[in-house]
Amino acid sequence: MAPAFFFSRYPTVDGPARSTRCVTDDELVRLAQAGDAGAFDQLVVRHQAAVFRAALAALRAREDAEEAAQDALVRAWKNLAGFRGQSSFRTWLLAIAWNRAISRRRSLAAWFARRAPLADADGVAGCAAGPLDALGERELARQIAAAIEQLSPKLRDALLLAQSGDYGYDEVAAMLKVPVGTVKWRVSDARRRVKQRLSALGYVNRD
Amino acid sequence: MEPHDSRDLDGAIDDVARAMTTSVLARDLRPAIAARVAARRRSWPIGWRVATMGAAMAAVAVAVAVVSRPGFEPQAAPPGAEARGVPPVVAGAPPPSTVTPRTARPDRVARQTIDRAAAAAEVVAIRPVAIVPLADDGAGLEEMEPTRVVEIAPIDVEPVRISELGELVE
Repeated sequence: MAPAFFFSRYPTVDGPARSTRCVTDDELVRLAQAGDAGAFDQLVVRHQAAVFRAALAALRAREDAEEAAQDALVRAWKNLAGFRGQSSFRTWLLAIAWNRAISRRRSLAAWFARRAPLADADGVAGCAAGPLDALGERELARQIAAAIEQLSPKLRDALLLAQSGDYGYDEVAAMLKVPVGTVKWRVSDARRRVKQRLSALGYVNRD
Repeated sequence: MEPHDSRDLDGAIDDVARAMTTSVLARDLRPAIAARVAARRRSWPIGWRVATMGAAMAAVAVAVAVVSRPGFEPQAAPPGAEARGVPPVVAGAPPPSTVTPRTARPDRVARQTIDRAAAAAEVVAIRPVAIVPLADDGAGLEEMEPTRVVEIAPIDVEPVRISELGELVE
C-alpha cells in the first residue's frame, strides 16, 4: 500500500517552519508515513550521501552511483508505508540502495569499460592519506588499488564498504544480507589476498 | 621499491579502500527525486484510464464473441420441466437423432442425445436369473477311470573295461 503522501503533492509547499535538527529518523519516518513530504525531504538530506557512497562502492562510477542512489530513494519513498521499523531507517535505506546498485551493476553491460581500474588507481594514489603520505609511495597505492580491483566481488564489496568509514559492520551485513561474522571474515580474507599479491611483487617484508 | 611491514600494509590497504569509495556527492538529489516522483504521479491517472478502458473493451469483446458464436441460442425452460427431470425442449429444436451443429462441443452433444433417448425409451423388465445349486453325491468320482500303473524295467548296465576300449583311451 502506498503511503498517504503518495497521493499528495511532492514536494509539498513549505509548511509551518519546523526545525528538524533534533528530530530523530524514527520521528521523521512517522511524519513521512503520515503524509509529510517535507519529513521525507529531510530524510533524503540526511542520508543521500551515505546512499550515494554505498552505490559508488558497488558501481565504481559516479554517474551510475547517482542514478542508483536516486532509484533507491524513490523506491524508499514508494515503499515507506511498508517500513515497520525492524531495523533503523538508515539500515533499511542502505539495503535498498545496495540492492539497486547491485541490480544496476548486473544489468550494465558497459560497467567493466566504465570503471577504468588503472585510472582509478592513479587517482587513489594521489588522494590517499595517512600512512601512505608517510611512506610516500604512490606506486604502492596504485598496486593496492589494482589488487583490490582484482578481488572477487564478494570480497571487494565487503572490503570497500567496511573500510569506507561510513558504515558499521551491522549495516554492511544488512546490505550484503550476510551475518556480521561473514563480513569480518571477508574483509580479513580480502586483506590477506591483497597482501599476497603485494608480497609476490616484493612489497612485503618477510622478516 | 622498499619492503614494508605487514601491519603497515594493513593500514595502507584500508586507506586505499577508503579512498576508492570516498567521493563527495556533487549535487543534491532532492530535485531529481522530486521530478521522478512527480513524473510517476502524472503517469498514474493515465495508467488507470488506459487500464480501465482496456478492461472494458475486453469485456465487450468477450460478450460479442459469446453472443455471435454459431449455435448459440438462449434457451427458455418450460415451467416445471426441470422438476420432472425432462430436459428443456425448445420449439423448433432438432430431434435427438439429427446431426448436431459442427461447432457444438462433442461431449455436450453426446450428453444431450443420450438424455433425450433415455427419456423416450421404454422400460424393459429383466427377469432375475435363477441359480440352481449343484448336488454333491459323489457319483462323478466313482465313474472316473482308475489310474494305470506303468512298470519300468530296470536297465542293465554292463561294466566296461578300459582295456577293451583299446586305442580310444589314452
